[in-house]
Amino acid sequence: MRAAQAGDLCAFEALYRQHVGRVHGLCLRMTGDRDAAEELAQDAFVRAWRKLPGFRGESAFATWLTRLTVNVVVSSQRGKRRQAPWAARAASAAPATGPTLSVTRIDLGRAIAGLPPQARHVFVLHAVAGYGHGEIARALGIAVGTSKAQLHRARKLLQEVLQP
Amino acid sequence: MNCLEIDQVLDDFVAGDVTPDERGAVTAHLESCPTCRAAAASVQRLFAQAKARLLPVEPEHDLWPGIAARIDAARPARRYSARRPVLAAAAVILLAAASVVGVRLAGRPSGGAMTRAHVDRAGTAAPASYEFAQARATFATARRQLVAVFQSRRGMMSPQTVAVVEKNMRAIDEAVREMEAALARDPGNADLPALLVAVYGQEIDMLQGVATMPQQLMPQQG
Repeated sequence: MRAAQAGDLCAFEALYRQHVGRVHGLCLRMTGDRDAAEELAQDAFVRAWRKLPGFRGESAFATWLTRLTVNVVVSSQRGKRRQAPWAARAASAAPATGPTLSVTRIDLGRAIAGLPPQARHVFVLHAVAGYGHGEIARALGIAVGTSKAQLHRARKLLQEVLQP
Repeated sequence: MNCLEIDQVLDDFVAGDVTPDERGAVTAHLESCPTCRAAAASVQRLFAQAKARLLPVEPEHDLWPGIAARIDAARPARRYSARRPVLAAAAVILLAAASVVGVRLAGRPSGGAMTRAHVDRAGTAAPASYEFAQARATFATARRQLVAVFQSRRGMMSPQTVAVVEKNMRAIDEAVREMEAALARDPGNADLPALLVAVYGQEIDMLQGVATMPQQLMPQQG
């Protein structure tokens, strides 16, 4: 860590190898889009390299990197406001192998990818990244009540599509 | 609390984000309501699955080359050490020699293979032999210096970078050996000297890249 902070790119590469799955996974779960996730994960690591000298170790590096990744994803999504129609996503997520497999069998990752953006962000930050509603509200620039409402909405939609 | 109110607070209840009073009220309701108990279990399962299964996800492609390139592109201009002008000068001499060799070869009347007369007049293997010999000597000197720099820095470079440099050096050295052997067999060949100088230049370029790699991209020692 100290070597990477001092500008050692090899040491930073080791940190990348250690954390890329989590950073990329977080980007993927928040965007629901593989290409966007790879771009954003790159952005997150480039930003981490720039900000690393300022990392004081007050939190674990993984926590610091998660927060930074969330900021990268949220900033990139703010301008876009891309809507992912739930119905269309859910339909495309349904296996097409026969009547015995229904939409209820789609996996959780694909179901989350089909959530409306804000509900998806809140659900991922809460259930996957372990954020509380206060942190989510600060990260996404929304009210705590909105965070709770979006989590409730996300959970209802997921239960609906995942129920056996 | 009724079932509707319970549904509104189930997420917080499962996450443990409720007051002791709320916890008591929800627990009491769940004990008496099998529907809400099942709903609570379902929420618990959903969050547990999300936590356990959704991370990590490795990317399909290695993102590191793109990240390293962006970091490299954003870094400040290279800082040159005291010995680098010497190395740069060696490369300039090499390039000058290469251009002279090229001009001489291009200016030959036949434009093709050299005649024995050309070779005899020059007294050596090729008509541009003096310049070619100069280029070869300069190359050898620059290469020695640059390889020494590479060897002194290899401990500070990533194993992948060292492997790439060594692989390219082997490939270039092999090409040089083949061309020199071909030139020895066919001293009147019109093209080989210029090709050889071009290959020398490639190796010098690559080694200079290593020698002038900014200190900030090197691991810190100690």
